[in-house]
Amino acid sequence: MTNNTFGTTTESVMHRDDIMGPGHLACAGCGIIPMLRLLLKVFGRRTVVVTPACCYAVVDGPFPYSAIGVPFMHCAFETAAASAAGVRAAFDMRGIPDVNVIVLAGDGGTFDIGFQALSGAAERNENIVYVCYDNEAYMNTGIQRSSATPLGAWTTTTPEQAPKAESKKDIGTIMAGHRIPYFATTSMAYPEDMLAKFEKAKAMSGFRMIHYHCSCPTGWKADSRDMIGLARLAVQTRAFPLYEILDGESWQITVDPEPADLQEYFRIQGRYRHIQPNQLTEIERHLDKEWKTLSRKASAPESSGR
Amino acid sequence: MMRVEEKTAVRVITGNEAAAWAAFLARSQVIASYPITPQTSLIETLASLTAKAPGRCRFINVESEHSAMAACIAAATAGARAFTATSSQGLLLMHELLHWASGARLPIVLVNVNRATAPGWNIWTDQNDSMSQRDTGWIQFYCESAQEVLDTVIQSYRLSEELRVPSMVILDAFFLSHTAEPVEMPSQDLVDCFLPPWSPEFLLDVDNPAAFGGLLGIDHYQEMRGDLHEALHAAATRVEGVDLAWKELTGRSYGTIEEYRCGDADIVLMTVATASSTARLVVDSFRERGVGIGRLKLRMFRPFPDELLRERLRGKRHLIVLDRNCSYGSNGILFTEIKGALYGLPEAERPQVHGYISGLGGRDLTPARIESMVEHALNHAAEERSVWIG
Amino acid sequence: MTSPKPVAGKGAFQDSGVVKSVASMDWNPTGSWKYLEPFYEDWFAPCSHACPAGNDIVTWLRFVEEGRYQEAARSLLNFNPFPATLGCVCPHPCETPCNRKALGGAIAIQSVERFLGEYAIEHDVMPELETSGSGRVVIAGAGPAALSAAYFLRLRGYDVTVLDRPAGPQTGLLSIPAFRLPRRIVEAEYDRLRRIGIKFEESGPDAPRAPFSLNGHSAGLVANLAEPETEAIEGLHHPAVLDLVRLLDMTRHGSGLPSGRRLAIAGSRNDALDLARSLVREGHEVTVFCRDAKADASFSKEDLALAAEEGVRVEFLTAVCRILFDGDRLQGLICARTRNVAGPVYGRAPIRIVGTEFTFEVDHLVTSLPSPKNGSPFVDASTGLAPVFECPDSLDSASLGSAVSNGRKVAAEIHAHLSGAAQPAMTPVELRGVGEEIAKFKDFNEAYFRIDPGPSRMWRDRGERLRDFDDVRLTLSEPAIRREGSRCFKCGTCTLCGNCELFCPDNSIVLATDGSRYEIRQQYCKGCMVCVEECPRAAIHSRRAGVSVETR
Repeated sequence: MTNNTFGTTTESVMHRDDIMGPGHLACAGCGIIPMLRLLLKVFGRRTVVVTPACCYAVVDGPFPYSAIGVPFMHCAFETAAASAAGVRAAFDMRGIPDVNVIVLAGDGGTFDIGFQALSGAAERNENIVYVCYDNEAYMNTGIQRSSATPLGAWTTTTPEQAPKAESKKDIGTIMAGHRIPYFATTSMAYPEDMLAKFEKAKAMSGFRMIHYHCSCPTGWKADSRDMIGLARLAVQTRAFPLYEILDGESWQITVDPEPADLQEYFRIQGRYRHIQPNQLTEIERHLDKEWKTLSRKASAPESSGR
Repeated sequence: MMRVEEKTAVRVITGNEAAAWAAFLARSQVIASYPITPQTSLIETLASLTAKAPGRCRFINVESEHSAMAACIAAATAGARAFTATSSQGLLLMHELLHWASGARLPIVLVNVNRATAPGWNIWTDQNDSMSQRDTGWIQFYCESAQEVLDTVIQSYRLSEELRVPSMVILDAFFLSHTAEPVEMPSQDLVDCFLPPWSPEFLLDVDNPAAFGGLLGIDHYQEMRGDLHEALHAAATRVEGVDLAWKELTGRSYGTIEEYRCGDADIVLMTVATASSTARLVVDSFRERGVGIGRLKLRMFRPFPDELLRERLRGKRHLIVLDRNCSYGSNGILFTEIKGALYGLPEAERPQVHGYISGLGGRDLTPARIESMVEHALNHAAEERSVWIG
Repeated sequence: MTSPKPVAGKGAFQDSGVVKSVASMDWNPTGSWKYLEPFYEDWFAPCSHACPAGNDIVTWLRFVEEGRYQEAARSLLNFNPFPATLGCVCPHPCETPCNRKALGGAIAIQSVERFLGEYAIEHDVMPELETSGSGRVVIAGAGPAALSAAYFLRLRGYDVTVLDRPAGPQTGLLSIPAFRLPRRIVEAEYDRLRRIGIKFEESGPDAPRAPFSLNGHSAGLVANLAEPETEAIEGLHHPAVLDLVRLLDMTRHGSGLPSGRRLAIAGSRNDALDLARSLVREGHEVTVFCRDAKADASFSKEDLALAAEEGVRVEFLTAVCRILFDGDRLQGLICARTRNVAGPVYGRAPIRIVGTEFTFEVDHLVTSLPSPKNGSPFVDASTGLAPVFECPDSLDSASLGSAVSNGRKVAAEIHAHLSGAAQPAMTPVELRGVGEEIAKFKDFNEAYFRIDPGPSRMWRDRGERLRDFDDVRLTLSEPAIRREGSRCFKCGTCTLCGNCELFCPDNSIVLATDGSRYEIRQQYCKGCMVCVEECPRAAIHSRRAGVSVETR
């Protein structure tokens, strides 16, 4: 019996040791922190976090402070996965193989500039957990387009007159192509699902990737109080479906919520204010198509039996 | 220093193989590298050596030089001895992270096989790849022989770990990288004696968590960089001690600079790397003709041993500087650097400095070419700019 | 809070040159960034707000959800002397504003109350007796309010004596027909009063209004039953006109019932419906004339609907004006339509509309007749120094909740007077310390609630009902009751669901060390208001930052 809204896993994880501390420099309503807090609660103190240039590199705090209670390494923007591989190699060679090595990187450092290192580390099946918090643009530098920015969204480099004309890069399919043991998308609005995926990733070895849809009220031009509401609507509108892929071949949709209206998701975000009805229809059609593709992969016969 | 009685073996190996053996004997724990001609045989040797000794070293076949250096930085941050090797374009791709490695005060050792930079594609030697990294905060050694490569790599670890600054050991493409020479191989015990396991004071440690490399404000950044600058300078004197310790064990030492017939010379020919051997022949030839000339080999380019150079060049009449590189729009890099150093001498004691640029893209620095530089210097007043010798 | 700022310049890196951070960020008072701040305050659940007895419904529904019936029953008993009784007859205004209505129907609060009341009877659950009060209190009257006052004073530890007419305390609530309120329930709940130590004394058969001496008592309470209003009908003295209260009593005993088939009842209280429903069960044809409009009558809506289903005719806005009779035989009634006239003079009194008169043929008229015997004992205030309190009381089943509440309020006043306590706690909700706002569905986060239908059948079938005087209500099974507990939104009440702590991006929300509530570390809270937004049930609210509780 639990009072917890989401369930026993969430409740028991919340009772664990808090490794993330307060006083950090995140914007009010930042989606990184609640996820990171849970991530650390799951992985515990025998963990090293590697972070490239991204919001969290600033959020953690200036020298000589750090908001995180585990060893933490800042690395260059495009090197997260390679750096984590280096840390892993060092711990293994020093005879301390039980340390979890986690990358915490933004979408820019993952989808774009860090993509090569990511691909390399994934292909080598480095024994690390790569967590990408995807706030769908370069937020740390002031909201510029990334390849994770969704179709139709405004950023400072895709202004209203020319919003992003391309759809969000399908990182899941790309990672599946690397045949990594585990890939999962997560959302703070579905903590029970997210924690199950964290636990699953923790219990495995090899290259594991968590793709977290990270609300950014600042960059999405939304009210900070809607941080979780945005995350929830993103899943409900299928703008950010929750699924996992085992060994690059077994796809599973883990949350299939009652669908919500895309317009409702767009209405509370300034980055979609310019969207005209015909654009909305186009985006809906695009998301439908993506969902169908995902559903097809998830229902393929080879994906069953796990 | 403990005496090591074990007999040393002599092997005929290339410069690349010597570098690989050194990295292996130094017990590098993490090696991350990406192949590039003419470095390839180096990492092939290492791949083979480490594969035969499982558990001793993790050899990471990264997907780029950038990731190679990133992995080394991370491994060193996590307390492991790290090594990589590259050349030319690869070194240039690492450039960002060379700054990072030194800024993070990590004792990484990198072997760079000097190679010209594109375009056009040219795989032969010159020094523009490494010399253009002079401001990244790395110690730089230029080697003349395979033996020196082996010895310098091992020495670099000790020097780097003592001062917490990274080292770059540099050898010429093909002239040294692919030329086999007899090399005295130190035993593992000897190397272990010289180079104890690295136990860093600052590292990623789950029992003592700390964050490395975070935001550094206006109040601190300059001090932190000042510390790095001082550590680099300290290497100029500290290297003597390291060299001496190695000499005690092996009988070999190299110094920061190496002088040949300079004592009574009033003309000094300054060289680096393999050209130094050729220059020695040129000196002998001029001496036979009664010209009072000597040769000064600069082994350590960073830190720049300016004090020592001023002392040794005080009162000489001519200094002839051979640059296998060019700082475009300025001059040969050594030429510029030595002129700056000599400005610290009273005007009457300053030699005239003649700068020559030659041997780019692997063009052979034959005795004749070097002789022509000396002839030119003897017959012309020193020019403001480096003279290009075809 | 001060930052342990390192001294700039040489030495900042302990000569290591390494940018190594070991101190936490918790010195950094990010709470100064905010312009809104969250705060916890339980708000009224609309059910509690609507409950005339002020029951803390959410609290016992929470216990019910967890199957902790013992605790649920005790928490109910701590604020309600007659849970099983009220669970039968209360018109449950609590269910009308229930926020669950929007998503599957109101919680069957009354059924749960009845269940818990019966549970308390069956499992001998007793309220918690305190010992804070000391002294003797005498209470004149034994209506629901009087007994409620006695109960709450006894819970405080007072020695309480209730004076009543010889028939005993049952007379009041037992007049409610058994198909609404099974007799055993009333008896068991009265018995509980005795068992917690309340003493009952008869004030004497011959002198029901004899004064009672206050000597030796710390306080007295007079709780007189309201006299039923007698309607202005010409010819009330005729023997075919029967008294409503007496007839109710007779239906209970099944003797002395009128012989005529067609009956009219003039009245606008629930007892008129009770009687009508009893009489249709005896085979009579019954019409109720109510002077008030449907909305103004004090009938319970539910009872009205049941009565109509059972064949009772109810004429609203209709008054009986005159009785037509031929000797002993009643010929019929002259009735007239009425309308409510609003105004300072009329109040909302219905007045008859001239020209709307019509004749209605019946065999008997039943209405409230003036009765000299309804008077209660009284206390002679001159016989001692003890103060004497007063409290209105009523036997109307529709206002039983109010009577319980009145009794508790006067008990609190007496306790405050005797103990010197400044502010007597009036309602359980006040005792729990909730704010004044009522938690509305619009204040909730709908994402956390799904449609969940409540029980569909609450009553026995009509035909079956009319065959006997057994309980008309279908009791809900234990799993169904428990389900009601989980269907409850716990409006405006922190249930420690953990959303605020889980989603807080600033680690500002922490569980109190005793685990009973969450606390906000305002020094870190940046005021994003995620906690307010994600609180499912409006237990966290926002206000301008820096406004303290005191000056709010």
